[in-house]
Amino acid sequence: MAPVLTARGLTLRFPGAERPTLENFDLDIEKGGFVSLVGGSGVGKSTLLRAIAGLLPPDAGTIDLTSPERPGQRRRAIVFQDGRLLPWRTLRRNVEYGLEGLSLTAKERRERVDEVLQLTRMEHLADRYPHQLSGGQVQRGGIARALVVRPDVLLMDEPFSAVDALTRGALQDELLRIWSASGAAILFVTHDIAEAALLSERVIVLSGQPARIALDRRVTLPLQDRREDPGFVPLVTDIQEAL
Amino acid sequence: MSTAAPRGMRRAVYGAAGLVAFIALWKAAGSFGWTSPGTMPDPFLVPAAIRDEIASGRLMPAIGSSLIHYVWGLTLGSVLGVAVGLATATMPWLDAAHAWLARILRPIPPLAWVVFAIAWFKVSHAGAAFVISIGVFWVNYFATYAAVRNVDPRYHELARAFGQSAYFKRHRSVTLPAASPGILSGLRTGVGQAWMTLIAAELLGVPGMGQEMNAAAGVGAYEAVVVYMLAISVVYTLSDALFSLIEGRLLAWRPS
Repeated sequence: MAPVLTARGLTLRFPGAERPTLENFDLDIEKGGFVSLVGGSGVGKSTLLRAIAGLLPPDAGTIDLTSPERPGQRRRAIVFQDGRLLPWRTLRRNVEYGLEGLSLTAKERRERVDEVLQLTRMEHLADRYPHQLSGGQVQRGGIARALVVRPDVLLMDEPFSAVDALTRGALQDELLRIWSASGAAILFVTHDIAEAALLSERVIVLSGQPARIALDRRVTLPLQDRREDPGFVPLVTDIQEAL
Repeated sequence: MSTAAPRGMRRAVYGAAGLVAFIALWKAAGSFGWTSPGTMPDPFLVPAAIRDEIASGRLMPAIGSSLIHYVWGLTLGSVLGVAVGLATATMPWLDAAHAWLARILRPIPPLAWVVFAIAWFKVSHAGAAFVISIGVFWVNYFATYAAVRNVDPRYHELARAFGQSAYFKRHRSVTLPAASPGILSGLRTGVGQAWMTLIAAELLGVPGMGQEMNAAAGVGAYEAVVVYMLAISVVYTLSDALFSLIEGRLLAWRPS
C-alpha cells in the first residue's frame, strides 16, 4: 500500500548532545496501517514522533505527508502521553480545540465533535471538565480531539502508560475499534512489548545511539484473540531479542 | 444530624463576642485615659455621628467622589498592569528591555508620585486616580507576569500541535486561560490596594473620604473620622464580594 508518510535521511539531535538521537533515518508509514514504535527509554521514539508532529524541527532530512490537505482537515494529529486536556474547557470544547483555525461553520464543527464523541463513546461526558473525568476518559478525550481533525496519520505517544492495567486493556480494545472506524494510519509509540504485539500490523524496534531500526516486523496474526494465537509468544520473543 | 449548623452558629457567637470585646476595650481606652485627652472617639457616639454626617450632606458626596477616583485609578492600573505583564512575559526582547527599568521604578511607593500628580494634574480627580493607578499597576503587573511565566509549557506544545502557533492564537487559546487564576488574584489584590492608596492620596486635599477624614480630625471630631473609616470598610467589603462573585464565575472550571 502507498505510504501516507515518508521520512528520509532524518537526523535529530538534542541541543548540546554529543551524538544525534537519530541519524540518516528512513521511515514509511502505509495508509491506514497500525505501526508500533518500540524501544528502551531515551532511544528517541518520542523525539521521532514529535518531529513527525511538527513540534521539533529536524537537523537534517525531510518528513513528507503524501496526501493533499483537504479543507477542514489536518493531515496529522497527536495524542499525548498525559492526555493533555485543557482544564478550563469542557470535554466538548477540548475536542473542538482541534478544529480551531479550520474553515468550518459552527454547525459543521458541532457535527464533527458529536461524531467523534459518539465514536469514542463519550457523548454523556461532553459537558464535564477534565478534573471530573477518570484517567482513561481523559485519554479517550485526547484521542477524540486528535480524530476530530480527520487526520491521515494519528501519532500516539505512549498514550496508555499512565492508566491502570484494567483501564489499559479496555482502552486498547477501544483503540482498535476506533482505528478500524476512522481509517487513519496510527504510529503508536510504546515501551510495552506485549502492547505493541497485541495492537499492531507492523512493529518497529529502535535501539542504539544514534537509534537504528533493529527490527521491522509485519504482524499477520488476527487481531481477534491475538494473545491466544500460537504466534503471539514468538512475536513477543522476537521483539524482546531485538531490543 | 449534620454538625455544620452548630459549628456555624458557634463561629457566629465567637465572632460577635470578639466584636463586643473590641468595642469594650476601645471604650475603656477612652474612659481610663490610655491616649491623649480628646483623641479617642467614643464608640457609643459613632451611630449619632453617622446620622450627623448623612444629615449634613457630607458623607454621600464624599463616597461618590472617592468612588470616581477609585474606579478610574483601579481601571487604569489594572488594564495597564495586566497588559504590560502579559506583553513582557510573552515577548523575550521586551522582557529584557524592561527588566532594569522595572527594578528601578518598582520600589518607589505610589504616594511618592503625589508630587508629580499635583504638578501635572493639580489637586484634581485625575491626580488622585493617577496615584491610585500606580499602586494598582504594580500589583497587577507582577501577578500577571508571574502567572504567564508559570503557564505549563506543555499547553504551548499542544497549541502548536493543533495549528495555534501564531502569537495571538497561542496566547488567546492557552496562555490567558491558563494564567487566569493568577491574573484574577492580582486584580483582586488591586481592588484592596486601590482603597489604601486612595485615602492617602485624598488626605492631600482632593475631595473624597480622605479629605473629609482630615477635615474632621482637624476639628477634633474623631467620631466622624470613624464614620468614614467604616464607610471605607463597607464599600471595600462590597467591592471585594462583587469581585469574588465574578472570579467564582470565571474560574468555575477549577476543582472545588
